[in-house]
Amino acid sequence: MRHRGLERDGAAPYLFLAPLLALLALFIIYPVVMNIVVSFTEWKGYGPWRWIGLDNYKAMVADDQFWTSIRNTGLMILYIPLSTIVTVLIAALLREGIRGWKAYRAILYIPNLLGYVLMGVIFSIYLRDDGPVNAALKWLTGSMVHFLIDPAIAINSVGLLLVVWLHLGFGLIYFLAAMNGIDKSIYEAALIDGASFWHTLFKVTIPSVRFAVEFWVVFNFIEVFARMFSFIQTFTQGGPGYSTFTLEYGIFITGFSKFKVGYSSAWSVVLFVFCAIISVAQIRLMKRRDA
Amino acid sequence: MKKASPFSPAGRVVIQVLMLVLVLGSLLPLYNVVSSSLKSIDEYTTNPIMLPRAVTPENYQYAAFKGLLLRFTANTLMFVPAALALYLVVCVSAGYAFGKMRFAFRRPLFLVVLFMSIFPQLLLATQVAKLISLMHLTNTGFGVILAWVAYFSPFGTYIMTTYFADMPYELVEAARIDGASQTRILAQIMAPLAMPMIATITIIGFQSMWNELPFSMLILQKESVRTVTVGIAVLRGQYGLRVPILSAALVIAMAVPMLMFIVFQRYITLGATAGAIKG
Amino acid sequence: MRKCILGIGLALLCSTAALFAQKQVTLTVWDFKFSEVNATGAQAPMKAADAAFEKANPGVKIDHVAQPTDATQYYQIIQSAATANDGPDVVMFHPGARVNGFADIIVDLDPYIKDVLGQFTKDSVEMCSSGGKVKVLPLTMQGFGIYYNKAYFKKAGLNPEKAPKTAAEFLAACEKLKAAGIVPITSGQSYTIDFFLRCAVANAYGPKVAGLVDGSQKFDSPAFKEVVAFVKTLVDKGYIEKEGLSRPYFMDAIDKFAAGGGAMFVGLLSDVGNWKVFSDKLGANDVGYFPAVNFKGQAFRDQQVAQGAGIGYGVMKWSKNQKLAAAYVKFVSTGDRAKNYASVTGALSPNLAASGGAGAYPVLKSIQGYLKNSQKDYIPLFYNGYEDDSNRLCDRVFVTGELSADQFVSEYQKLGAK
Repeated sequence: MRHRGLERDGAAPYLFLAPLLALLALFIIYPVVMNIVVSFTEWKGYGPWRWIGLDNYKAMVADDQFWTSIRNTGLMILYIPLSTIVTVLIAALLREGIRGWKAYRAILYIPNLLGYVLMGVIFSIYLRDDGPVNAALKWLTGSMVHFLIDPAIAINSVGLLLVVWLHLGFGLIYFLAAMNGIDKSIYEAALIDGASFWHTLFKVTIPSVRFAVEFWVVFNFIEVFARMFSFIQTFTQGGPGYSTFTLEYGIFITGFSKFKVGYSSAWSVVLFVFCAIISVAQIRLMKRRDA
Repeated sequence: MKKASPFSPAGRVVIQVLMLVLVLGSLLPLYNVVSSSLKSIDEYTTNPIMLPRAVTPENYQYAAFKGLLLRFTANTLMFVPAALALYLVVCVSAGYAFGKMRFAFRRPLFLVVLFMSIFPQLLLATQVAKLISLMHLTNTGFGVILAWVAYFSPFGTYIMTTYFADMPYELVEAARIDGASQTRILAQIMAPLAMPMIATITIIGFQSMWNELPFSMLILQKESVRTVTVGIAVLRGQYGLRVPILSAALVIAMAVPMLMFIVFQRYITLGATAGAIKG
Repeated sequence: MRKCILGIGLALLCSTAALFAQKQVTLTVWDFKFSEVNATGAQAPMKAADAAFEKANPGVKIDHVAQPTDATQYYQIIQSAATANDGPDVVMFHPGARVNGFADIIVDLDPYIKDVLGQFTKDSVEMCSSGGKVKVLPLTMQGFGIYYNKAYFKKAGLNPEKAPKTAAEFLAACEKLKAAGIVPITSGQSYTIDFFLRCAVANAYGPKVAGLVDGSQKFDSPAFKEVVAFVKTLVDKGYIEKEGLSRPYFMDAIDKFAAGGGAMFVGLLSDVGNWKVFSDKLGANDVGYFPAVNFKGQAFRDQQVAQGAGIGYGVMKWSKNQKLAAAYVKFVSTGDRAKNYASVTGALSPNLAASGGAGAYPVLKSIQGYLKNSQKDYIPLFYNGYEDDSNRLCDRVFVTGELSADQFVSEYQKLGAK
């Protein structure tokens, strides 16, 4: 007898999806399409626009600021592997049931609760040249680190603080929720067999939450491309110079500070292209699992 | 009986030390915010890091009353829970549809949803505000709720989809054979089992909406409906807001999300699916 | 019969109420300074002005709303209103490029202000106009200059009454201050160098400053190069507090100088970090001022860089009460209201009839003297967002050292040509 569940589910899925798709079509798809259209125009943010074809794109490709922003965003991506490793490792450590793991999970989420704006402010206060971290460094080693004003160090500070540290809080919440699906008895059995922590980690835990690891990488890509603005704004304002000037930040400055909305839309189309690539990659991963 | 651990005693010590370092790193910003908020501006100029020499409530008074943050918090409390309810309905049902149901265009539609969850708000804000004003919903709670749910649902749906997709299909199959409707399966079986993730998206959804700025700023233009995040943006001067006042303002703004977190994080440990299959 | 009387009575009541209702008009005013409630904040004088206007115009209510101050957010909200073609009656603007940018949605004020136009300085009116029409009525004017702490000068063995105006004197003063353990120039973010350049450019180019925009004057010139080298020296020798360059908030720097954290500060004339704030904190007789550093080879001396207008109100095209709104704008920008605003907030008014006496503030008298030789600030003359590009370029040479002084000058020249 054929199980009904294996066949298509009729109209129910579409009903379940209707609210989401309706909202998306109106409030996201329409603005995005408008954005793409505007990228071929010259527009100051309201009023009429002037069609100029590919001029924005030509200017963008010739713009040093644009390439710097791409480079900076790319540097941030390099921190994603580190973030994944650190988050999964610490989640697994907590999962093993260290005493007080729930308290740890809650406390480590506090930076996320404080929000990117506030964390940007606080880090900029602590890491400035006359701040406590440099005071401690000077006392310990005699020299200090220009976290905020050395161009090479500043961008790496953003990577470490934002991509690795600030995502840890949410990462623990997420991974521990995902790891909840793993049967506890497997761990007990492994313990009895004398398996080491690393063995269970690689042979049991990680494979069981593969969907979560995939999600985490994709999530981090999204964060790097489209959610860094409020942190960078309060931490270094994209500076010094252009050293923490990312693609997203550039879109903001070009569009809202210079009122060149047509031009900034061209930059945002580049952002869309990257996002499309990431989305397709995620779909491919899901396809592989369904097969 | 004490639970056995895969770590050697030395290993356990190392781990606790590591955790301690992380905990200190997480508590330090909180300490800083609270400590700064209790210092007078004069004291902060000379003593930015250490404990306040003289505790003063003036920053809180300024932020709460002169800055009207208490009123704005009340406004935000009117809007966010309603938006959150709609958000949960949308994300859980859509997440289940994508994760467990079979229908035409499933993957392309999911690709679109995923794609939409990525955009920076700033790019969408102007157009969204325009749409809301065309619908005559400017300065209304409903307008901003629609915008919030529209913007934050794709991500919540994405999380729920990957979680539902990973749950064993046998659960659904068994219920289908018994003749249950999809709505019943979702409401009575799948959603309760997905509580950890639902609690997760509740926490982040609440926080995202509470801290949201661009839409709130453009849709709720009148002071009578202003939210707390916009209230803080208004307090800032051209050259920045002094840290003690900013800290007090942010503590006020963060009080409710923190409460939500404390209440909901315990739900993240409920609902292990494994037992349902083996048992 | 009784029903009839009741009916007529009700009708009379309703029509009277309707008559009253018709007379009630609400003017909505959007502002980015209304949220300032501290001692020198703008809210108090603005509220007083609103109350006075309401009293003089019964049936009118002013709904004064504070909007986010950050320029990008503030103008985004204005744009949103423009797109919806509905919104506030009166809006506060930053004159200059912003007014030009929004000129098509701001009402021409000329017919309403004929009788008061002459009270305002020419520069301020020019900055507030677009296409020859006055769009905005200025409430304040802005400028930059160097404040110094006379007590610290005395402590370092310098003459507190003699400002170190020449380049050589300035360097010598910095050296002496440093030797005495006093921070020579308290700095904040990129603003210290930004403001210093504005003062220096006004001093170097004088009335020809506008030529920088059309290309008849060049940054790539000996005068500007001399200034750049000078600033580099100030940073390299630590005269400009290096820590301040990584200081995240400019307000911190202002507070630090006001609390005696340094000997000199490149500050503003209105708004924050101005003569009133420093005089109130350090003592009115302890604050000195000079507008710029004078270089030997340059043509001009002691020029005061000024923006004719700092902030001002305009009436929006979609307003249903344009005449009333224009009357409001005129009311709050002139007479006692303008005087009150300037004296409470420490702003300078471009309204000559509203300039109060310096009275208890010697440093204000000093400033007013220098204002007789005011020159345009070059930054607002360029495109929207020029300030951001300029600051980042400055960071690259003075803070990170990525660019040499010569590279900076050539890049800066290119920047102006965009």
